[in-house]
Amino acid sequence: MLTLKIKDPEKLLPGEREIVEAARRGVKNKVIEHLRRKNDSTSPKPGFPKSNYYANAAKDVASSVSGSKATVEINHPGVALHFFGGTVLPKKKALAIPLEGIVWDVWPSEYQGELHPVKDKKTGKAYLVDDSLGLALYALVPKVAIPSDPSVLPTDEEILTAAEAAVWEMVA
Amino acid sequence: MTAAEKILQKALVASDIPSSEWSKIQAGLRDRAFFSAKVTEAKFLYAARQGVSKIAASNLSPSEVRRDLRSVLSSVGYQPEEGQEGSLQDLTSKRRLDLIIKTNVDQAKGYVSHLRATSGGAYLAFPAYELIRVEERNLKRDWSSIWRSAASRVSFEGVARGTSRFVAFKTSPIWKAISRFGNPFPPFDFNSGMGLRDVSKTECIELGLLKPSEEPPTPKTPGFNDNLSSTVPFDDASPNYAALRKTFGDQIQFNRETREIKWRSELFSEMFDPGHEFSIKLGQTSQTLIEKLPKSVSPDTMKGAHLTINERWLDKKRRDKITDHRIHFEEMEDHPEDIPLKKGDVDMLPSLWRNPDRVFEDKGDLVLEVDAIDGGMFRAIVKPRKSPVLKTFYRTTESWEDYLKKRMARHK
Repeated sequence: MLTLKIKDPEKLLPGEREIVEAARRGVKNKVIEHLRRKNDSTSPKPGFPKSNYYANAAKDVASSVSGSKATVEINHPGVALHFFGGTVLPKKKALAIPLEGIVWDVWPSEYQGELHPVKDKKTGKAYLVDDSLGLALYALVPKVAIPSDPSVLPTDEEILTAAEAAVWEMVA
Repeated sequence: MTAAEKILQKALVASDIPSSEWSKIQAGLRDRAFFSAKVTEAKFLYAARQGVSKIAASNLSPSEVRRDLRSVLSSVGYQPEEGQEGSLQDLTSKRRLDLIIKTNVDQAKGYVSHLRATSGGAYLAFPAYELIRVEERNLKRDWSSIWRSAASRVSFEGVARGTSRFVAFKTSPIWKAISRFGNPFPPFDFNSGMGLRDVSKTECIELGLLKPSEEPPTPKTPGFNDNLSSTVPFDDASPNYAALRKTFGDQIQFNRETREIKWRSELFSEMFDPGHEFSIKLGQTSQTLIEKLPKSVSPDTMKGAHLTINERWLDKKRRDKITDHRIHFEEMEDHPEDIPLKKGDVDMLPSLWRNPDRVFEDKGDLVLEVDAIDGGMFRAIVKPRKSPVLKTFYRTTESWEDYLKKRMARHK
């Protein structure tokens, strides 16, 4: 004898929260994958180590769900600035831009040597110099303009596709 | 929980054992500790934990934290051993400080990410991980061998076979097996450059990990110590416990009520549970304290004395007969010079007791002070005797000298 069990289809469907969680995860994965690819395609300045900035940004992709809303954020310093563009202004007198690989990721306040400011009379440009090394280690600038770079994030279409695909993965 | 919160929850553990010995400590205990190989200086560990949590919260840069940590090391007179300057063994070197920072930040982020990856719809859509390279390295470990060996040890439980890709269910024990730290999330080794990507259900089917109609294994309910061997499978009668006590002294304690082995710092954080009775040993008087005793306090009073704190310290009413000593964890209008303590600051009590920066005597009590890396100082007042009693503990920006002047002015 054949027994047929009919289940309430609504009970088979995932709940709203699960759907939102799947979509959130899909978008998060897309953003992470995008940032990692961007990191792979970025080359360091000659003489400088690779900063892996976008790989580190990928570690800072966070997501949350609240009701039917999911949020995916990149909580990494500077990502918004790179995406939207903007001007960086100093907290004190000037921004210090590393000129040599040995001070990559080393702020002047951390530098373990003697630095003093020097102004080039011809160009008017200012530097922080370590006389013992005979090197200008940082350029002192009043501001830095960062152009907007939409390639920092996946496109809206890619994000939507990733969300949809994740939901289908879950219900399939 | 955020990555910063995860870091601040960790117990400060000072020891002189190398990282190879730390690797042998139970994963659950090790994960709950904030330590660095061969680091015994509590002030440094406290400052490192604070700094690393701020980096995780994107509130400070690694450069600023390195600078602050070197300042702490200088204040305690740290010098690297001869011949090790600039090496990984040199605590002031960028290499060493970056390793401490990166490992702890990445572990906390990995933990938080793993919790979210194994819940609800996220897991149903993406039930597996793939181990991939996310950062290039000049010297790469042989992850293929590491994976094969680990897969064999866990009998390929949840591991995709017949593929050169490193894919397994998120619940597979292989993730802990490939990890130097025993965690099912990256980093899997120091500076490994390896990370994880989610693998969808469809891909799992394509790789033969799942049959088309099959559901992935149900993950355990995520929790603080889930999948981390949080319970220690031995008690205080075990030689394993004796070995831990030999290495860590009073930093490791056994709770007879709950039959759990914990770091002392973890017991500190439980102190604040209402109605909770506790008894936490801070250790015997140190030679440092004896040498700093004022002349008015006889060393004989203090030699061999053990300081143990219990709930009476927190519950005891202050001079106003209204507030108890929990008040020091809040802003006090009548003491604007005081900085509210955080729970994690109690980790500095053992340091105050055993390695104070300054010691004074006041009406028969001992006043112990340790400078805080981020401003002010920690101060404890202890009644000195063979069984010393902690009378109070707080954080302040006011020097002892200024405090005494104010007190004299009040009594005039």
